[in-house]
Amino acid sequence: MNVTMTVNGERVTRDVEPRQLLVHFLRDTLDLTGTHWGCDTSNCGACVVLMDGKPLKSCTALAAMCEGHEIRTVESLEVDGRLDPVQQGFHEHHALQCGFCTPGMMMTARGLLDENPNPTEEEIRVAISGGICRCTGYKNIVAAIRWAAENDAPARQEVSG
Amino acid sequence: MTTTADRPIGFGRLKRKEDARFIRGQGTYLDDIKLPGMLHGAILRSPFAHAEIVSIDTSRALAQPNVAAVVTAKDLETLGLAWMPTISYDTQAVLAGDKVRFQGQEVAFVIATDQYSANDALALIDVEYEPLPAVVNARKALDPEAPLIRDDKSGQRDNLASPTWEAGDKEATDRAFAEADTVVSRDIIYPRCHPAPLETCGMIADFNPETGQLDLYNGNQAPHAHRTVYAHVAGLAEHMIRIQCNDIGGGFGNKVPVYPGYVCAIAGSIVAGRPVKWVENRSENLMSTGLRATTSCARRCAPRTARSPACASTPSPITVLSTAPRNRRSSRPGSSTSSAARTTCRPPTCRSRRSTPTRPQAASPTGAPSASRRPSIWSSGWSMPWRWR
Amino acid sequence: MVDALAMEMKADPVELRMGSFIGPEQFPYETTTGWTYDSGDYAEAMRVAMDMAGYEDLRREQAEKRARGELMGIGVSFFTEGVGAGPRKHMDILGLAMNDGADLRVHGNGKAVVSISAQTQGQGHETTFAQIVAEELGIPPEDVEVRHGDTDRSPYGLGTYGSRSTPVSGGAVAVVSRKVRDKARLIASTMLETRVEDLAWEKGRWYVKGDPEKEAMIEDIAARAYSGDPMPEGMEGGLDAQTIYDPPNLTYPYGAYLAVVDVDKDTGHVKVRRFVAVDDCGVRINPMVVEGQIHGGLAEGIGIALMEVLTFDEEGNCLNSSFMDYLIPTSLETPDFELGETVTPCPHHPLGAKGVGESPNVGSPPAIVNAVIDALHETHGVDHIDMPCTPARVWAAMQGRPEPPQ
Repeated sequence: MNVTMTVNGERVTRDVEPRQLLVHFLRDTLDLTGTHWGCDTSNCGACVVLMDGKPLKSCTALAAMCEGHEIRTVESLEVDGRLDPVQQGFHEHHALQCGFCTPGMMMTARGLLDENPNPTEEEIRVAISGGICRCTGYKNIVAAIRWAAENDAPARQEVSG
Repeated sequence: MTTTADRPIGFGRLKRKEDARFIRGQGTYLDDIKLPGMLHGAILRSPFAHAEIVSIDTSRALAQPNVAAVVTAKDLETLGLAWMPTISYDTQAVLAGDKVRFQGQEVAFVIATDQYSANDALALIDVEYEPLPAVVNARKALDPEAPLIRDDKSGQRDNLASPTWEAGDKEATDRAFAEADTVVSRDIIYPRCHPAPLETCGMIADFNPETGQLDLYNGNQAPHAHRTVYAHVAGLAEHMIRIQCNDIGGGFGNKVPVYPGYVCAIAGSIVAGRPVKWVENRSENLMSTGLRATTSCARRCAPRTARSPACASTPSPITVLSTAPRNRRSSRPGSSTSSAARTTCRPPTCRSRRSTPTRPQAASPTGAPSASRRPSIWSSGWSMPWRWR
Repeated sequence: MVDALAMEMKADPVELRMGSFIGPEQFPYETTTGWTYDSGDYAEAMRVAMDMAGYEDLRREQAEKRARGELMGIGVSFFTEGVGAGPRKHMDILGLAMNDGADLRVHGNGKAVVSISAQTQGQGHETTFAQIVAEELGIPPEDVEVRHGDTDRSPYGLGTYGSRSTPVSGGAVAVVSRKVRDKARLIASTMLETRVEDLAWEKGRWYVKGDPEKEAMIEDIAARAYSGDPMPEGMEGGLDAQTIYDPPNLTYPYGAYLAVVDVDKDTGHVKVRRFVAVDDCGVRINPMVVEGQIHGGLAEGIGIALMEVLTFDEEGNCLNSSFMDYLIPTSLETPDFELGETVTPCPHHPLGAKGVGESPNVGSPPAIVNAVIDALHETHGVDHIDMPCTPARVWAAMQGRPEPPQ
């Protein structure tokens, strides 16, 4: 069946097997391999993308369900060579080690900051609690998102202006 | 040459160079790699913890249009790939032949044109099992009446995977406890945990039949050692095998061992002459991969009057160390032998209380290693009656 | 075990440890099992941890909470571990020596490539090993490419696990860098037309003692090595070296940890409120990376102590082979870790460094379990509890019906 959605600002139409999950559609059909998968039960959060601006575990959605929706993956964060403050914050605060959970964590962070530009540490911890990181122990991820919150507004104005 | 706190030339809090690709989602993890003509593998796993394999019928799976091959232990035997060495001087079945020894053990390997067809074909393989009693407790596994799991090993009479050893001054230790004012003892069990890196294990094997080059894409923690094992198992020269790990989504010990899926992918690629990819799912990862086993220590502790460590603990005969050996059977249900001491790394002064477990019977070596030399993967004690042509 | 002893002796667990430590003057310390611990000041690490935690204040707080019927526990652990396998005279895997190679080539433009056998899975080798070369040769880390993870392009070694990257591969990179530096010295003596023994090294350059303006920068030495200008008598061109490093011993990092937990008296749920970790892993190449490693290991330790276990029924069926039921700590189960450090260089390691990756994993489960027992001992008579300390298991222990281990 044909499905049409917007992915990272670009309208795409593909023929998909009805049972194909969004995560595999992104990775295998569109070759956007930045979104990862790490479990079978929607627990790990490595597959988080934004659908219409809200974090979504892309293993919980069929590609077909995304007809007409707007999907953003980690590949969309950097714009014209400028890193998103979330990406910069992760780098500044050593919030990644193996990098496997990182796209999911960053998209979760982006979704959080778009809705709540000044989250507390507690709010950040709740927001990322749907994802697992085996490497960092989360402390630096929280610090990175706080950094991004503090450095977000000017950068976002520049991107949208 | 200027140096700043942010950019030290040398030691210091330098931000990471490798972040550049990861924060852009441009890491190259195993499942990101696609090669032209690549086939996909899936593993049929045993539902039983301990069972005889009566028969395996792959005909229905083979009849599927997208299925290129279905590999069983019999096929691997003809290639000389049915067994592989472990890091505990033991061997492990790549695919179960006579019986299965833990739930999740690999029984058959399907190779198909895509992942979905490979997984669908698993349901079409008919395996008849004769269940056997299982043993899931490491201590009960040492009971005399516990079912013998590794009956494939000549001379194996119980479920102890490796020699026990002791070190130190037993007399002085016993005396210290006898003379101590206070002695406490505890049974401390470290639960069976799993490293569970966020990226599961997998491999792409790409054998070029024209050149004899075997290219492997595999996130593992010891690529050179793996290359040596594959050279040995597949009968290829080491310099004809190249392992590229690229980016690895966590290891924590989980990506140290050689897993049957790897060998199956290699066998599949050698036979098919095309790349074969195998990536496990999370359930397979938790159920069938290592390395962290239940550890049980019975320890005694007494204070010392002199300024020395307070705990003079004597390992009991079933004390085990915390890292399971590559031989997963040593810590799998249905096959619960006590976890082996890391036999290749004992304290310098230790004394064996038991001889090393028997190594697999093989063709007569052309030159037996001297008794004083430790056995090596290259020594003739490991040679198997095969050679890949 | 030490806490069990302290309980029996009615002693403070910190004081009992302090009175039993190997003293710094006793190192290198040969144990009765034959391993030789390299270096350490155990008491100092414990003191730093207790200061950071505010141990006395915590005990006061605990007493106040206890009076109100709240269950708060303080658990301490101290550990040493032997990592960095290892000397070929002691150990091997499958008969393969656990030695690691390193190849270093400095190109004519002054930039370098170091090929290592350690295999990163997130430990930051592309940065930290470049930093070792930078430290030894003065080439900026961004100009040092670290090659790894390709058996065709890297020397033989036994890989990364058991905290061995820094002790073994790091040692190899230090040794190979020094070989390059020694060769550079000979080239510099020709360039500066001075005797070798008249040269002194300062990061990035050889200079003439007594006339420091007369110098040869490493990048100029590298250019010379590839140019047609004269080289020292008998020396080949190029500026590279290789080595295979056989560590003389394991390294012995150690740490003093303290966990503060609150136990819900109705549900048995354990919350790790604070975790103080003081680690000594010798010289730290990149403290940021070291801290990241410790954070991750502490989180894993929380998992082992409180929630992770693979369970099987009597027939050997695995009951929780998914993340739905095999529980891994998330951001809600982990506190804001508080890290401290002491630095006791390793005397036999070229950089004075020890490994660290596994240390937090080793020290944290005992600290947490000790804390849980500490929370429940006086009020409920609990003196032992098996891991994982799930709410059900803790609650059962509180009722005097401890569950057997799984």
